[in-house]
Amino acid sequence: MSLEAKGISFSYGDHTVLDDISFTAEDGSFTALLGRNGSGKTTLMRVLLGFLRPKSGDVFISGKSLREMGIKERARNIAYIPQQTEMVYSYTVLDAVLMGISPALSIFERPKEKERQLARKTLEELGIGELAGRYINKISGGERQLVMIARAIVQNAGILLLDEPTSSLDYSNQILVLETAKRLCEKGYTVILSTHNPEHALAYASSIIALSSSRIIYNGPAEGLRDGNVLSDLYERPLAVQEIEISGKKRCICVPL
Amino acid sequence: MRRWIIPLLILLYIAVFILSFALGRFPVTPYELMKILFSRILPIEADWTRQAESVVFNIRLPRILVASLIGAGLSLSGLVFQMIFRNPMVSPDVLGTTSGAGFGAAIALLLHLPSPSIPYFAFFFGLLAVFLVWLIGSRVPNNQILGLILGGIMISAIFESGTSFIKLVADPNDELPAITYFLMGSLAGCGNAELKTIAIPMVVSAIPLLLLSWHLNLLSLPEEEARSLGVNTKAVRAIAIASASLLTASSVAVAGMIGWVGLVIPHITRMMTGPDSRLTIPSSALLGAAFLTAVDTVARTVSYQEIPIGILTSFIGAPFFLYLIIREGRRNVA
Repeated sequence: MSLEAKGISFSYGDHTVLDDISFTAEDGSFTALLGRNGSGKTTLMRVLLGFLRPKSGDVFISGKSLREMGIKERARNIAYIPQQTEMVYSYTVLDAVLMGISPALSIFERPKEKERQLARKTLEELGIGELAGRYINKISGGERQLVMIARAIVQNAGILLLDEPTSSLDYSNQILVLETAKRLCEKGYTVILSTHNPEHALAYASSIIALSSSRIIYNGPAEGLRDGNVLSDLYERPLAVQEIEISGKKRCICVPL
Repeated sequence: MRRWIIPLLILLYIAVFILSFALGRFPVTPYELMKILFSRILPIEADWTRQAESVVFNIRLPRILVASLIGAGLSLSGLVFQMIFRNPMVSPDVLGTTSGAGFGAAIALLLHLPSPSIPYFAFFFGLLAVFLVWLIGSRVPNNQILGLILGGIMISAIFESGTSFIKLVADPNDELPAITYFLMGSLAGCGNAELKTIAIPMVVSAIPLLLLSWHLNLLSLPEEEARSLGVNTKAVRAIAIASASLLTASSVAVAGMIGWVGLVIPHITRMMTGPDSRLTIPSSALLGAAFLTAVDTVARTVSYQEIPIGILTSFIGAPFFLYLIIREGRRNVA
């Protein structure tokens, strides 16, 4: 499934938050969204999810306009993984994952045994099958993020939108969540992930969109960031990107100058 | 899911039901009660007094059923409001229903309207209050929940001032005591007429809640998560608010203000079952019915003059709630 944004503009009153944003996330691609606080990243995510209606422009999912889709159809195409989830009532992990089935059900329907099996299987595939009976507020932040990913898989949407999914996680869990997203991308999901860590974008994404003051300043392959100029412009401070190779693994590190 | 809790609560309710018949100025033993009740459907030789039959069918049965319906209704409506406002501290009067209904009843009492019309006045003003709050909420489309909660506080305040004003101008010899007594909340004098008044709206409004129960779980997620899962949050919330308000308004209409039931019972229910609405909805209704029937039995038997049930539920509910909060606070720190 591909996602195409065409000329999206959005403003809160007189304050322009998104100015003529256009990009395409190809089917099965991994796109990272970079930008400083207040650059419009979150607003763009909310437009892509259909929560906000752009003032002009439109979003197309495999060619179909988001405006023509009802809320359930949108949910069957795009799954959302928030920064962190705050559940007032602590459901079991299995029940939380099962909520992903909602777009496939009518309003008066409930999930049945078949769906429970699916939720259980999804947890096992992500390596967290033993969490099924635990309460969601009693597991760690990293585990909770994997549960949100499991819910998105059960939702069976082709596009995964992850809004700074690693921002509240420890180092090890950050990598775990990113590796999981990468694996899903290799399985055919289209992944769009916003992050404050350019090294994550360089390590996992195939294409990168850099957003600064409501506009796209870079839209292209991850390799295009290697010279450090785009990142220096984006974060408004001198930065260098260094490619290193350790035990056969190539990684880019970002160094403030 | 702890499904076994439901049969357990049904047994609890049946026990309270039978016990409530056995207590009172005219006690009916469980054996006698069963015979009298089943004589309506089975051919059983009547070996009881006509007085016993009259007490069962005309006095105690309707009263117990009204207490059960109100207990179930208030608990259910509290539970639903706690889900859709994502806040376990919310009670059924959050949208001003109770204040509106109290105001309506006060007007009817002030104007000396015939007493059968009082519930309808209370009912109408209770729903009017919710409608006004809903209008305010829809004026704040980006944060509907905040709009509704603030609207509820405001509309409640207006109706409560209205009620105070009515009390001020009411005749202190007859009107004022009647209004005060109504506002205390009491099931004294609730009989077949009251049962008929509330049974239909209450049963009708419970049905959509039962059908929606799984989607109510999704409504307790953060708004954007719920919407990203394809839930039309505004529609589900509207149905839930309409049903829960109907439950509250029906209760207040015949029994006045009975506090704390709708706040405490959902809490205890969640402690037993976890938060899944598929379990909490039937469980809180059963537990609420058993609780209010039990408290009402105390209210009508403990002293020569009946104690208004609203006083008793506050006496029991408020300290218990405090206990829950302190317990929860300790657990979170530990």
